Amino acid sequence: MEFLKKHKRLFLSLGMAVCLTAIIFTASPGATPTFVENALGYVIVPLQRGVSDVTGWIGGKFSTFAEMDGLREENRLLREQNSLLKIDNERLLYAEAENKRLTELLEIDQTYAALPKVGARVIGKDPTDWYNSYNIDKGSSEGLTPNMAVLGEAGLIGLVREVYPTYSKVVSIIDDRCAVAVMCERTGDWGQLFGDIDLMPQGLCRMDYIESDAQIMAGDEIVTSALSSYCPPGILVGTVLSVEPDGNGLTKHAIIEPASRIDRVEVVQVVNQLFGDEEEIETTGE
Amino acid sequence: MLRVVCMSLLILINFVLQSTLFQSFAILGVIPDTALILIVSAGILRGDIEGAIFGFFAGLVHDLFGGYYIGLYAMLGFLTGYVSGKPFRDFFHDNYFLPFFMVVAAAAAHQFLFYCCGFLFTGKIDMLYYVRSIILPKTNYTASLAIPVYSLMHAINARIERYERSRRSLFKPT
Repeated sequence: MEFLKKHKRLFLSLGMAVCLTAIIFTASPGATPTFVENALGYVIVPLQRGVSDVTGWIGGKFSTFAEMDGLREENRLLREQNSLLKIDNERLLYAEAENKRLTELLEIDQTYAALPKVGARVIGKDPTDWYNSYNIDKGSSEGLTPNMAVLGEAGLIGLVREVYPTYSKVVSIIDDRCAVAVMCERTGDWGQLFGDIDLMPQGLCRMDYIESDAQIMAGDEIVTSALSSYCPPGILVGTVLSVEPDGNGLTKHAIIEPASRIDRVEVVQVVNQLFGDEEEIETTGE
Repeated sequence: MLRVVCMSLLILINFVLQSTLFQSFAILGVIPDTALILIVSAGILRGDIEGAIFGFFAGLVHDLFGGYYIGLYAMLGFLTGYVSGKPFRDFFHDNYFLPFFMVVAAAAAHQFLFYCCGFLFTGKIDMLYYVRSIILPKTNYTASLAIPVYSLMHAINARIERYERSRRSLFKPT
């Protein structure tokens, strides 16, 4: 300590050098997790999980009392909706059976019919307010790898960015660093879904690079496209709120409202299979 | 030794709380940056070298769990700790004005740097919008917690210093 106090310049430049080297060496995407990260994971993940459980429990107790009246009304509405859905379901089952027969006729390989999924819990959130990413309590020991799709209660909410033995970092689709290839289900228009810092506080994101003559309009449903390098195609992402032309006159962009609520997510499902990657297609083809 | 253990625990507990419990207390979509208050307090109470070391490790934990790459928060914490340790010799530690203003300045500077590093060069040039929607609320929220967290740190530091003094008098013949 006395030595450091005498050589403050040396201390300062040494610290800066260590940090800058670390930034340079870890800034490349897909850098392998370090020993320190793994070791810290064993300490912090159980703590985060415990505190998340306690806060979730207390929050649940409070909201039970606050929402009692709303729940009765909601229950009645859900019953009505349930009976309608049952009728719809019967019809769709019939349609599915028909679809199956026709598909077999066409000999289309139904690779994506059933997605392998694994459930995980959200245990922590990025404490800076510039980004929107989560830690989930499943990692490489459960077979997760980077770029796997993460689903919320109704659709895509993010991609796995980094995996460690006991936990993974998930970047949500409203995060500025996230990009997914998507398409409009009704019209078949392609686009690229980006998180946007301006839209993140409202829980929205934007779809860029839509052709200017595309027929996409508010209310259309957006799904992941087969062009995506990682995501299985046909997963619901959200609905279009509005479509606005870009300044260049060649493309336009749409504001998308994600189907799942991203700010209050607690349980997620991870599609533990990659799609679109050449190696992966080869292995699934065997 | 006790100091190292206490400070490591403080960093870990603070990070866990920030990433879980504090998310439930977000105001205008932002949560307070208590790690920054701890770093500034460490600098003020223990001088520039120890402040810088504390800031480095507090930032490192954040880097390992939150960021894409390691080093940015560690470097910011390192510098913040060092700078806030500069007035160590010249001010009373019981005075709460200095830590308050230093926390405000540091929080604003940190947020502005995050904006510059992460967004300014990706085409998000509407600076005033981000100042209004993130930087100001975050700075205000952090500032409102500056004095409570500083006094907590002050109390912990006083305990540890008392303990260290008792150890010293045990082993050194005076």
